[in-house]
Amino acid sequence: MLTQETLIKRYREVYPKDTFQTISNKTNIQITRVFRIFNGAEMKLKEYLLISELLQTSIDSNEFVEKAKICLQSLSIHKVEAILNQMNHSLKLASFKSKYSANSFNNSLQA
Amino acid sequence: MNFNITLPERMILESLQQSSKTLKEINECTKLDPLFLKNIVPSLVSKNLICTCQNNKYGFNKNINADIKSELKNHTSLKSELSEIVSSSIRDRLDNSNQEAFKLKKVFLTPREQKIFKGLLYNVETFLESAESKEHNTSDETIFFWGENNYGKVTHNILNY
Repeated sequence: MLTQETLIKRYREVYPKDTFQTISNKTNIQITRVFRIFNGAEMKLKEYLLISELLQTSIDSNEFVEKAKICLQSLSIHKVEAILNQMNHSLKLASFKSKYSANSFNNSLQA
Repeated sequence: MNFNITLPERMILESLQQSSKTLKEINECTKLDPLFLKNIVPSLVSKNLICTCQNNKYGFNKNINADIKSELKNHTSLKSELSEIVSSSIRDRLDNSNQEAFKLKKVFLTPREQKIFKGLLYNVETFLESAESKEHNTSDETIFFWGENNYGKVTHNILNY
């Protein structure tokens, strides 16, 4: 497990151009809180996990976007549609996970 | 409306086709994480695919119209769903070394051998079709998938898709 300092430093290495607003948009952490975190304020566990998750993505988001543009130009329309459908499908599956607490729902299952 | 049905949603629909269930019973039948159920079930209700019944139960909507039935078999959505099933099995084979999860063989068969294979396959298919319907948890079902295609044709299709 990285220290908070190392995590922030690594984030800056991987995403050097990210503004505090961008980080806030990616993590849903309030921008003022992002500013404080990146200036030494102690992170909550949830914030640490959110930022760690961004670093775990092995695909550079810029590469992803560039590849998508090349696919649009180079692949058949059917292939592009198939990729888009797969992305929509994956997004839908991901949307089923929400920030809703499983614990409170477990309580409702007891009823 | 394109429902773009996913496998977890279809699992819940199949579970409720057996019988109406409370959320807890759906959880026990499908073993789906309560976190997912909390998001998926209202979504299915809003699409009129399932309905709320007495005693806090949910039931499969048997009165869905022909258009909605056809949407559930939408080819675009089915391709994504089936790809997910196969991809998951391939990951299980390659990442988790589960030898039974996915098998693939390329082989040349003479016409006589093809006839023998078709006979054996017919027996397997008949056996699966005749498996008696027993009360069970949806999550305990086994997914089998099979098919065959000519190697050259597959390669050609991949290159020209």
